[in-house]
Amino acid sequence: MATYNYVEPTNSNLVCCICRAPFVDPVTTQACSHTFCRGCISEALEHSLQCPVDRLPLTPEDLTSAGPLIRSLVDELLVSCPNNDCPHVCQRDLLQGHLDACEFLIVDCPEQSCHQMVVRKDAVNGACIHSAVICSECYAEVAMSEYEAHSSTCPDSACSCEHCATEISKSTIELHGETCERAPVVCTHAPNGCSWKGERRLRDGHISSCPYEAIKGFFIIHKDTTAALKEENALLQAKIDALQGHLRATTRDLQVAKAALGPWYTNAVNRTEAGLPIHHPPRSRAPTSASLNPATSPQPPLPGPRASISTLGSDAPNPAPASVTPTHVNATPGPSNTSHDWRAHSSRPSPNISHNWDPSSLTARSIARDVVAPIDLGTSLEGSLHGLRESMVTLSTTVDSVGRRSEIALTNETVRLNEEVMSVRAHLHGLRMQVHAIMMDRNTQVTGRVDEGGGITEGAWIPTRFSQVPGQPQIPLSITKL
Amino acid sequence: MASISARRLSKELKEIMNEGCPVGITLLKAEDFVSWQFTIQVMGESLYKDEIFTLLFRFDRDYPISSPAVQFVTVDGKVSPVHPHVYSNGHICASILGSEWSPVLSVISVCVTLQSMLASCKKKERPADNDRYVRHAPDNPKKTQWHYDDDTV
Repeated sequence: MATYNYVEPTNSNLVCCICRAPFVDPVTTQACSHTFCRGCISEALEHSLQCPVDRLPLTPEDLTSAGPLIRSLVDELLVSCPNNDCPHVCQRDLLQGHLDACEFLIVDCPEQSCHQMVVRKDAVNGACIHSAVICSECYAEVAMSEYEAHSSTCPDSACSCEHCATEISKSTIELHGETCERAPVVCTHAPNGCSWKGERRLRDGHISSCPYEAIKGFFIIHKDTTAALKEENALLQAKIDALQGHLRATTRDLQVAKAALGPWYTNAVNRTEAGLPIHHPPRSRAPTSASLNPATSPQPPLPGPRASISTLGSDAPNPAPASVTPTHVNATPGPSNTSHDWRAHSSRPSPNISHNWDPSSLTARSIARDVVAPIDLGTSLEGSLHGLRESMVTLSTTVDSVGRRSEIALTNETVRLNEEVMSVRAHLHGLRMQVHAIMMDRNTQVTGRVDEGGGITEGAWIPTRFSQVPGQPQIPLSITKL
Repeated sequence: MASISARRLSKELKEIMNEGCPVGITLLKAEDFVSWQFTIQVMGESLYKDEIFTLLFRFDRDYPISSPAVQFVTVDGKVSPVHPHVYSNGHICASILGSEWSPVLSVISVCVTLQSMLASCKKKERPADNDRYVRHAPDNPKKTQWHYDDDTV
């Protein structure tokens, strides 16, 4: 016996290191005391005459049977029967005894003419199980080996009704159960609540006295009504579902629209209230712009944001040029100004210009603020866009006019400055001429004096000579030496 | 009935599945009881750091009485390690695969031995007669008459 099916894992000390299975007929080497199966070590020695574990020289004569302790340990290992379907488990040394009697051992069919195999337990009665037999009930041909299975399911086999004890065939028993007089049944009004139970033959007697029988007509009507109501209910339920879906879709759309509109979105309920605080800011801003810009005429109280756009768009550009133009006229110096005035002029124009330009620029800024900011949330988005477009047009016109104005002002200023520069140049020329004349005069005097032989009084003379010239700026001393 | 080699190999395979391979060795293919493949990698500091080789085992019906044919795979882009006992065609000159084979040895023990053979290598070089051997080498390394001349590596 070469293979065993060990039921449990084996202690590794009982395993042959050549076949890795528990020892079978264990032998031990005399020299090194290693144990192997007899079959394994004999084969190994045919290949190489040395111990597989430590490679010491070894011959078959050096092997002795292992001690009884090892033999009994491996013989007592539990193995299962190798035959299919056999559940037998026993000690290894007892397996051979079991195999001799195992019912699941495959043997030849006892019938000489049959060449098939059969498990031993089916061969004990000496008959060939492969030969066909005829079912005594349904007269079908069935193999002997399948006869038992067939007879339990044969439709024609007889059985008795469990209620009336009548003998009937298996195939008709279900049919009989529906009509059997003694079969237990419930009242026909059981669905309505009657709790009567009894044999079928007694039911007719019960029904004549059944309280539910009296109101049989009501049950029919009731049933119809309930069915109609149920149907209607289902219809309504479907409608509700559809409407809920619609509502959900609409809510989603509304939220999307709300998100898209942003601050434009106001509820119909609080739209009128929301209008008030928005009307407020321009009204509070109006006085500040008026105080900053005294040149502009005080604005009338604004009736509403829409009105403020139109009033500012039309009014604001008008006062600004009015305030600018006169100052320009004042500031522009005449070309015929005397030389005495130019010093004062040099400082005057710049503050004047800044004074005149500041308010106008502020006005422009306040216009811009008032035109854009008061978006009327009371109107529709379209109306607001229209209003915004209008104010945009106004704004561009304003910017245009302001640009033109500033251009005119710049031209005026440039002309004025040019003229002033010209006059200053003329002055300067006059002065140069004067100084030249004086220098010439003095040179002639000095040369005359030097010729007389006196250079000592020169220092004292110059101041007195210069002080006699009226309206002349003090000339530094260094210039005299030129 | 299954042959002795099949029973022995099925036991070894079950052990590998249950307990796993030693570090650096992985089972690549064991679909039958004719040939198995393992990858082998030398762990720690060595000349073969980060190199992975594939070992091919071929068993005959007499396994484990006779040794398996073991060699490195040198096809499909795989190479044999450069080692004084390993030829460029993957054949290995190791006594335990020839005369020193013992039925006690197993597939895993051969892997571990070869792993330590690579790990103890001092110099990466082919055997001196590599070219001559490779030209005439048989397909199965077991058919070669090995002359083991170096016990140090």
